[in-house]
Amino acid sequence: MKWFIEACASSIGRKVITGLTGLFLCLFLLIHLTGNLNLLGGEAKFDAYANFMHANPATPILEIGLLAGVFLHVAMALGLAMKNTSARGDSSYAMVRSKRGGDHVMSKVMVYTGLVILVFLLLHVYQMRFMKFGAAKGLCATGEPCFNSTIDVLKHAPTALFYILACVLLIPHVAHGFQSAFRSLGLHNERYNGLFNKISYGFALAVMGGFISLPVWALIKF
Amino acid sequence: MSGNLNLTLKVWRQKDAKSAGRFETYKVADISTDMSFLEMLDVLNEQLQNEGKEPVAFDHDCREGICGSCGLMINGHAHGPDRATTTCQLHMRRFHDGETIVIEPWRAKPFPVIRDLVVDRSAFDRIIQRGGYVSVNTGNAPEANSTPVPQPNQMTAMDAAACIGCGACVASCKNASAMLFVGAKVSQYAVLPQGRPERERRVLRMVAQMDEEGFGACTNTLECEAACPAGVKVSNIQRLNREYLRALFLGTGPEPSAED
Repeated sequence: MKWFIEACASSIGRKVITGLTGLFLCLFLLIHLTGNLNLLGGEAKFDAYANFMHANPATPILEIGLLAGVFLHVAMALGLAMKNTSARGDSSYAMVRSKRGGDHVMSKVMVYTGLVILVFLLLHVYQMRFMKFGAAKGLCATGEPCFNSTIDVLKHAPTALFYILACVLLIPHVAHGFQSAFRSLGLHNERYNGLFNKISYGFALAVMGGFISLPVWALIKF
Repeated sequence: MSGNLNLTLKVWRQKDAKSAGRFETYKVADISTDMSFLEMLDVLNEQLQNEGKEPVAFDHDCREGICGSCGLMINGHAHGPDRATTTCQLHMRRFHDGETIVIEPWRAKPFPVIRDLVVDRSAFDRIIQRGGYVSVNTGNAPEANSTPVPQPNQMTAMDAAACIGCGACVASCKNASAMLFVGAKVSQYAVLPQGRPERERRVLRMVAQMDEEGFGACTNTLECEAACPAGVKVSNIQRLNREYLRALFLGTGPEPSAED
């Protein structure tokens, strides 16, 4: 079994784990957005959804799964980024140009967008999961109404702007990561290249657009 | 002769692996547009020798685009601006009079510069030694119908086997990843019946060696495919990933086990 663990830690092994956890997190984003859109339905609808989640025995298990997913995703990606940076060696090129005609911004910024998103994630969990924010402090435990405390966070302008920034940065991150994950898993097929790229961008834009709409809506409406 | 080129060359000069390198600027005059890039460098070297200076060292062998010896970073492009072209098959008609050309060696930690524009690519040989072979003597060409191979598989294997191991994929990749090279070498065997018995062991060992040498990992910028003089496709990297996953879950590990 030693070889299996070693093989999982290889460059391909790490890429596969980064890809699988990334796709898992994409699935989470979709479910999270579906739930959060209840906010737009008003207080009663959102509180009913919040109560359903809080009372659900599966929630803590899913939370642990998410934590593990995020941890693995970040750890593997940072390890790969360090390996990739060191692979060029001490002296770099005086001149490098793309033969393909791309600037590869999407892949180059992955680690930076990822780190900003990680900071956002810590703040988001602190504010929304543990409800340590402003007037809403300590509210929204099991069975208590959540709508007002959530709106309190979202209408706080600096918080809202940072939330929007994180979501904007998630667009290139998810768009590159989503299709890249399929390649890492060896599932890419030349016939579907274009389609995969379109799905990646479509998914990233749709999901992030949905998330961005929530603080924007809270800022305008409340 | 009219139409000939006068060029300024900025060439990387480095005495040996331990010395620090630097760019030197040279002028070459009256370069025929029918010359290959390497012939232009030959002209430069004759000029340097006549001046009593040390000629520029660069790798070359067949000068027909099939051996994979030559390889230079020319104005930021591996093997120059053309697609599917080695440095020796690049012609001076692709440049214009008065142009400054920056010439650098491949840059990657596993490809240390030995001298000037020559890098040590034995990391590729060590990857091949770890598994890029079939462990039986195949003998003479067999009777064609004794081992049926579907025609698309023949094509895939042949396209992968077109890799000449020049290292342009590593040189052009922002992560200095060798996955296109390893992908091609794994693919050419994985799709053929002769390569199948050792496919799991082969991919595990070659990838382990690739990591040991210090090559980076693929981030799907597809720059390697654009730089490859032999037209090797990135679909070979996806096949490499597939083969690797297959080996993880169906194989018995990188060393031969008692059951083998």
